[in-house]
Amino acid sequence: MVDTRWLPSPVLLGVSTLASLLFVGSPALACPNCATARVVRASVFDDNFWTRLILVSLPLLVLAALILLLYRVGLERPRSSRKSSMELEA
Amino acid sequence: MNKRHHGALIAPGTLLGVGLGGFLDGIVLHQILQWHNMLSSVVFPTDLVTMKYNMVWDGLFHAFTWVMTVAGVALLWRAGQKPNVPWSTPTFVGSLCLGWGLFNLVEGIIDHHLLGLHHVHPGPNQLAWDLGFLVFGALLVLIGWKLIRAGRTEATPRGARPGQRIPTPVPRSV
Repeated sequence: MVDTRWLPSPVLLGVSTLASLLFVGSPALACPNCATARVVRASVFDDNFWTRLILVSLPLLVLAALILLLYRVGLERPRSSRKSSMELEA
Repeated sequence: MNKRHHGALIAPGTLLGVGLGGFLDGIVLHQILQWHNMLSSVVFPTDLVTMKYNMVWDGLFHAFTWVMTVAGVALLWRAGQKPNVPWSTPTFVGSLCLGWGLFNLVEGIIDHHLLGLHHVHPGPNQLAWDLGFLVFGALLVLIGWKLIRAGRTEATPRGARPGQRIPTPVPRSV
């Protein structure tokens, strides 16, 4: 049998791995305000922004309207089902 | 007397189906396979700036999809508290399929065919890919609709004892 008392606990192992990755790994540059990001921001928020936002959201707005309709239609059951449940209660 | 409210379960299921279908599209087709982005037929993602530009619009699309998913969870929670909502597995699974299929159909028709914001797989066969996307959506709608119809006869509320049913109102004779 292997004596496991001297092995580090899984939690300690996880924490030390994460810590070493944080210190050893090179930092990722998200570039929130560099020249590229400024160009991207300017091109996203240009005169066409609101038009494009409406275009991108259009399918989901149509879907939301359809689902609202389904919510209402779901109130009614087909005639055959209604008939059978009435027969059941009778 | 309470009336059975199937729509209260169909609506959240469909919203969740739309949300999950949208996330699947975004994760698989936009990010993993990188076949298209939200506006990739308007601004071609050929360099870092145009890729980041498309990434922003992908993010906004995912934000809208997230709103649909949250609305679905909220409505599902509400439906679970109502005594007149039949807690039917076929209805719920059917609604999920219906939502996913509707997402493919509506998004496909508007974004791919009417507005041309992007195509499923741009290239020489893009029309075939776009039509395949619609056919898959129609198939899901059909499966979903069949399942919802099958679940309409169920009348057991959530957490009910075996055999307990939601009472159906007897029509008044005038």
